[in-house]
Amino acid sequence: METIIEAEELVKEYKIKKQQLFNKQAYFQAVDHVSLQVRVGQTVGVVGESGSGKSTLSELIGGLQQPTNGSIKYLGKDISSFTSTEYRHFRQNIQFIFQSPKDSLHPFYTIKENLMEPLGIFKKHQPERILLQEIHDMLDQVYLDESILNKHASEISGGQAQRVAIARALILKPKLIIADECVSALDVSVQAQIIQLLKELQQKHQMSYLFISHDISAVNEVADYVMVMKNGQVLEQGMTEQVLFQPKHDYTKTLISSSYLLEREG
Amino acid sequence: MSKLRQHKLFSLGLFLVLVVISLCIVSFFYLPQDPNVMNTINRFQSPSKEFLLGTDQFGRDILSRIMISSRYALFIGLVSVFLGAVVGIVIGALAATANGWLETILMRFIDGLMAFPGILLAMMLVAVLGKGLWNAVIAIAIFMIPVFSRLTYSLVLDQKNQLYVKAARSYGASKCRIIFKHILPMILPRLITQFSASIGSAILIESSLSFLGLGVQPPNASWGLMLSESRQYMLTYAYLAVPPGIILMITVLGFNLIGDAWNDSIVSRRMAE
Amino acid sequence: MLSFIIKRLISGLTVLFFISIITFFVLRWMPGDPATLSLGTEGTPEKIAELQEVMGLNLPWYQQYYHWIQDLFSGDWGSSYVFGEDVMTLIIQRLPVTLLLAAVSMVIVIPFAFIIGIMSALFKERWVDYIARSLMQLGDAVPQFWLALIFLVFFASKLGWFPVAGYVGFDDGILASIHSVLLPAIVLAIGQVGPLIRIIRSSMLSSLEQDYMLMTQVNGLPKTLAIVKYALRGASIAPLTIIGMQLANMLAGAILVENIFALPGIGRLLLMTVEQRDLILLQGMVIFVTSAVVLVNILTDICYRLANPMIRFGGNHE
Repeated sequence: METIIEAEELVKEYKIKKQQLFNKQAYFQAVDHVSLQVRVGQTVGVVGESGSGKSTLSELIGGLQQPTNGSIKYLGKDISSFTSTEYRHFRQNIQFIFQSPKDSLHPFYTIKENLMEPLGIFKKHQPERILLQEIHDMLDQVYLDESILNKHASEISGGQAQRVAIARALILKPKLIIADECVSALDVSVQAQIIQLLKELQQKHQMSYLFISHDISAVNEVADYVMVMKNGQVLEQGMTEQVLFQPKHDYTKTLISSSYLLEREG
Repeated sequence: MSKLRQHKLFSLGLFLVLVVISLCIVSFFYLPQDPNVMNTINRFQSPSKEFLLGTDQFGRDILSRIMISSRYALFIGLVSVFLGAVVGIVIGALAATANGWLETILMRFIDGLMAFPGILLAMMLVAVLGKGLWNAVIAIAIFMIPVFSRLTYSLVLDQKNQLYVKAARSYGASKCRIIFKHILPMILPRLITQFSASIGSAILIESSLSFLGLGVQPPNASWGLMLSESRQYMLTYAYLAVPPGIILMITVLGFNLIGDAWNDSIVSRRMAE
Repeated sequence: MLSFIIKRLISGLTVLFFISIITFFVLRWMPGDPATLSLGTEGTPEKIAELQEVMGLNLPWYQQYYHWIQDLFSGDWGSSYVFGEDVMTLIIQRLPVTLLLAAVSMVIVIPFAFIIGIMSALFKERWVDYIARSLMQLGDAVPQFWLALIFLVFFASKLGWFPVAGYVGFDDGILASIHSVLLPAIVLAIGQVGPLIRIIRSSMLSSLEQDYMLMTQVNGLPKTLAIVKYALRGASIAPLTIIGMQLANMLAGAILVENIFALPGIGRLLLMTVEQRDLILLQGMVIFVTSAVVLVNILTDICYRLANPMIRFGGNHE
């Protein structure tokens, strides 16, 4: 299977603000030598508590932040050596879905304008009629009514907003979607629907997911491969069943026992 | 502050500004007397039916001169604040999006401009450029830059951390697009508030410059210039001192009140959220 | 604390550097070069070229700038074309008048602003507060030069309480000096009062709401005593920060007021300088005034930091 993203030995350091002018500069390692691969059609889950560095990792992979060290290859080519055309291609094929759907939509734009934004950037030469058709198709796929198009983010529910955000990510036909805690802010019943939707769309479009969550049961439902992160490091990784049901590491065990996954699985 | 009071102050401000604007508009169609005609027989006439606010040392009708002056005040106020705002917003937005040295240089430059006491910078520029209307506009515009830069800088920094900006970056929006299409609409209300409040101080500086003989030049009229020209006769004819000052104060007060009321309503909306 | 002072000094110096750059470029690179201006009507092309050579105007800009800064630090601020005197001497001659004016108006404005600001905070949303805020609005909107004219006509000319114009030197006694600047100082004070009341009111309001006020109530301190002891102290610190800014405003006001009352201070000198386009003198005065503003700002920041326990122990707030 073709590899979409291959990250090696990623490190991200932040400067810690100095308390005294002449103190030595101290650093905080948010991501500490992490390697990962995402293949076509695969879903990689990253679990860990907040502050474990998983969000930073997702932003490094998605090119929103620059790593301090290490390399990221997209379709076999290092992203730091991209030409502008290659970067454009990369940007189009890696999309994000964030935790708070309402905040990730522009508050002053209608849903239509929000969905039009990525199209305006990547397909600006096509007539508006065709773009509108694409938006309508996409709404069908995420099961939203087109009456929503003229509303603003503040006028729709969290679940609807997350569907809009998914539609916006999907509209550019990306190869990889990075979902950063994309269900944690939603009601439990809505969570299940969104996860169902993500799985369905993956089947339809042959996409890959990088699924970041602190919620083990959500990761269990979508991921083929799981990485457990703590303090910026990967403690354990492997196929989902293996990591979640035969955890080797004590930290993973604690994480699992604190979720209701075990109860459900008996 | 109560909503009602806010509303009242806003209405009062709007009313005062409208008075001045209508004075300006009317001046294009009707003036009681020719504002520039000098007539020594009519010198120092106290207010009467023919000359509602009296005449000055050259026998010119004060009311007509006040009406004509409103054009200069509003023109210089609007244009100079507009120019200053545009440059200031660009510098502020640039500083907030650029990292490291460019940010530091831009903001220290702005601090440097800020250290010039209001009118001093304008006077320095007039000394170099020469006296006159357009040079006054440029001088006041430069004086307005730091306020807008700092405001834009802090507002953009604040917005930059919002999730919708991160989302826009994730689907490939360029820095330029993010600033102009995404962030600018969000911060525009605050900038407009500042715009209104700044017009008041721009008009004050214009009149001060004109009073010092560095702004609008005779025979044109400006409230500040009128006060300066009749200065030596005021001890004998005290009525000369009143009308230009009052109208000037009304104008500045009006713009300040509008700006303050807007600002308060934005702040209270923020706090309610 | 030491690191704060060093940081503040460094940022202050950077600001001063930019001020010097702005001043340098505005006065050198814009139309009308100093050599042509200083020769005036006597300027033949040869003479101008010769003077340009002497003044170093043919050198590249960074060398000119470097020489200029060197001269500034060595105390050689050049000499005025109009007065034919040393710039430093001229400034120092005029400085006492402006300082006296500023000091008298500070003495007037500070107690007044404190009383109004504190009353307005204590009786928030009551008539005292409304009156105070109306005064602020009026104070912000009234043109200082107009106020000066009105006062001149009324208090000096009609009532004869003050001299119409002119300054009485210290030789005739300090009281006579103060009397001669009292009316202009009042005008200046009115121009300053709005922002000061505003900041005193808001800092008083926030210190009234703060935890330590609650604590004093819990501890059973009578309310008035608590206000006087804690809130007042808290509220008196914040205005420190804007006194630097006020100084800038006051200098701007002094330019107008000194010209109306014919006081031979910095402001009057400045207007003459601008009218005569005496660029060397103007350059010196601009640097002098802005440096004073920046230095006072640094000092007030440091005092604020020393005086305010919350910020002092708070770590990295800037």
